[in-house]
Amino acid sequence: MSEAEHARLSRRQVLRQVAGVAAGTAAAGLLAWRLHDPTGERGKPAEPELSLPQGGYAVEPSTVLPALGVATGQSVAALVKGAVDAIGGMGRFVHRGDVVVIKPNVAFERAAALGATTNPEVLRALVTLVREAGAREVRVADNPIESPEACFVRSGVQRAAVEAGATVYLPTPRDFRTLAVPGATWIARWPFFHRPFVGATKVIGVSPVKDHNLCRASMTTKNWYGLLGGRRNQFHQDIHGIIADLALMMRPTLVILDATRVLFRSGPTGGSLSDVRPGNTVVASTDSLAADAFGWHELLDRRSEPLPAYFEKSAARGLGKPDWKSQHVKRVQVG
Amino acid sequence: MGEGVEERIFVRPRKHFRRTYSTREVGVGGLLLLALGLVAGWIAWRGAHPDPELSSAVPLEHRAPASADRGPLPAGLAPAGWREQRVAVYDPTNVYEKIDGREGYYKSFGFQRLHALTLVASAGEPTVDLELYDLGSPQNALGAAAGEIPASASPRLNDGTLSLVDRNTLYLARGKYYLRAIGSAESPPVREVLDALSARFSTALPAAALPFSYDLFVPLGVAPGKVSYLAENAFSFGFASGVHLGQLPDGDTELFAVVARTAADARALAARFTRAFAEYGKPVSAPGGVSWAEDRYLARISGASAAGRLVLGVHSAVDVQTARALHEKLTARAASIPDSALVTAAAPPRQEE
Repeated sequence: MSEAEHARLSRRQVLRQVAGVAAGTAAAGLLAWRLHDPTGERGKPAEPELSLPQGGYAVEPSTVLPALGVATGQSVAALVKGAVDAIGGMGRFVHRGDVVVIKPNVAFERAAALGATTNPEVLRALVTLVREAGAREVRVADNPIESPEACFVRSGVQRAAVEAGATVYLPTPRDFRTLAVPGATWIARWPFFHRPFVGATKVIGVSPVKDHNLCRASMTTKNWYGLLGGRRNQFHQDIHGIIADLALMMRPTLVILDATRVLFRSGPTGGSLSDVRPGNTVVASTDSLAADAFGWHELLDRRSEPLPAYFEKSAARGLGKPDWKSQHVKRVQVG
Repeated sequence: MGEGVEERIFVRPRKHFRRTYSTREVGVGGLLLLALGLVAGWIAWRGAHPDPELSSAVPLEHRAPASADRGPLPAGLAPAGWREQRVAVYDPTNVYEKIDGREGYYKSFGFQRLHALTLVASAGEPTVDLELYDLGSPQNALGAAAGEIPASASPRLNDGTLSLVDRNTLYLARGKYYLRAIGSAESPPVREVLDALSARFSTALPAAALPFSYDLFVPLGVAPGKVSYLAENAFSFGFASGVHLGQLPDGDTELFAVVARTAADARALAARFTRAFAEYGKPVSAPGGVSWAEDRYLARISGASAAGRLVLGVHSAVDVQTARALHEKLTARAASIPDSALVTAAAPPRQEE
C-alpha cells in the first residue's frame, strides 16, 4: 500500500477496522471457551447418573456386638459360619426376601490353590449361609482383569456359586452405567458394573488376603475395584487414592476376609504355590478398614511395617477404623 | 481506493470485488461447505452415540487378543495328551489387561512384550500357563527372575540359562527373555510338562552373554541363582539404579556393583551410597578407604567405594571386619574384569500407560 493510499484512510475507517478485528477475535475466544472440554465430560452424552442408596447397604451398627469376628480352623464352611456368627450371625445382615450381591475377587485366570482369587469353598459356604437366612436371590458378580468367563471357570468360583444356588453375573459392555460418587477424587463419575445391583438390597464382599505390587496389600477394600469399568488401570498412578474412593463408593452390608490361603508374595497375580501359605482363618466385619488392618498385621504378618496409605485416607473420611486392636474382636476356634 | 487494490481488508459498501465471478468457484465453495457440514454432522452424531467400549469394561475378545504371532515361542509346545490354547501378545500399552496390578514390576525391568499361552490336558485339567516376557536385556531378565524365585530355592545356571522348577512353577531366564510357566496344581503330570518346557526353552531361546556380575560375584561364594539385578530403587534408595547384587549364603550379606559412565561419576555415586547408608545409622571407623555405616535397627554394616568406573559395595555384613574382608576381595576380583564387559546400565525405560 502506497503512502498516498495510507493518507486516504480516515480515523473512522481505522477505528472501524480495528473494532471489527477485535470483535472477531473476541467471538473466536468466546467460542473456544464455550467448547473447551479438557476432561471430555461435556462431550459425553447426557445420561441419568446412577447413585447407590443413601448410606450404602450397611446395616445398623451395633454397640454390643464385636466389630470383628475371627474364626480359625480347618473346615471352610465352619470358618465362614464361625466368623459371621461371632458378629451376630447372618440373620443380623440378611432377611427374608433380600436380594444379595456377593462380590468375590475373581480378578485373574488362576486356579484357586494359587491364592490370587477368592476360595470357591468360602464363597460356597457364604452363599449357603445367605440362602439359609432367607435371601430371595443371591447374585455373584465381578469384573475380572482377564477374560471373565475363563476367570470364573478356572478359579472354581462359577461352579461353587451355581451349585450353592447363586446366579453368576458376568460383565458385558451393556452392564455398565455411570455411577456418581460424591466426594470421590477419582471416581466422582465413573462406569460401574451396574446390572447385578438392580433391585439389590444387601451387598457382601468376600476377598482373599493378597500381597499387592502397588498398594502392598489387596483385601476387602481394594476388592471393590472389580466393580469399576472403563480404563481403570490409570488409577494405579494413585493407588491409595483410588482405594479410599472405593471405600467411599461402596458401604457394604458385610465383608468377609478369606484367609484360608494367604498370597504373601508376588501379588496380586501370584502363580507359584511357594508364594502361598495356609491361613486357615476367616474374618467377618462391617468395617472394611478394621478387617483389612487385621489382615495386614495378623495374616500377612506385616506388624513391623506401617499400614499402607489408603487406610489413613479412608479413615480421614470417616469410613472405618483401622485401629482394630481398640475394638471388640471375637476370636473363635472351629472344626 | 481504486478497483483491484488487493490490500483492502474490509470492502465498504458491500459489493463484488470483481466485476464478474466464476460459477465454478461458487460450486466448489458449496461443495466444501457441504463436506464441512457432513464432517460436523458426523462428529455430532458420534458424540451422541459414543463407542460403548470407551466407558465400559474391556470386552472379552480384546482382553486376550489372539495372535498368530508366536514370537519367540517355539512351535508344538504341547506334549502328547495336551493341547495349546491360543497365543496372546501384550505390549506396554495393554499388558495391564493380563496382569493389572503387577505390570509395574515387569516394566521396572524394561518390559517390551509378553507372549502368553496356555497348555491344557485333554481332560481339561490340569493346565500350565506360559508367560514369556521380553525384557530387553539379559540383566533385566535375570533380575526379574531373581525377584520372583522363592528365596529358599536354588536355581541352576547352565549354559547361559537360569532355571528352576519349584512345586507348580518353572522360572527360566535366558538372553533377554524371562519365562514363567505356572501349573494349576502341584502334580506329576504338571511337573513332567514343566521339565519338558525347561529343556525346550533352554535351547530354543536365543542366548546372550551373562552380565559381568556373574564373573564378579560367583567366584566370591555367591550361588549363581543368587546373583540378581535391580533396575531401580536398590536398598530403597531412589538414586540407586542399575545395581547388580550377589547374596552370600548367610542370606543377609550382599555384595553389589554399579557401573558408572566415568570414574568421576563412580566416585560421586560411591559417596552418595556412603551418605545414604549413614542416614540409616552411624559411621563406624575402620582402616582402609571405605566409610562404613552401621544400621541402627539391624546392627549390620554397609559401605561402598569406587574402583575405576565401578562402585563396589558390601551391604548388611555382620561386622566391620567381615565387610572389609569382603570388600577387599570384591575389589581384587573386579580388577580382573575387562572394562569392555562393564555395560553401563541405562535407566529402565518408563513406559507410561
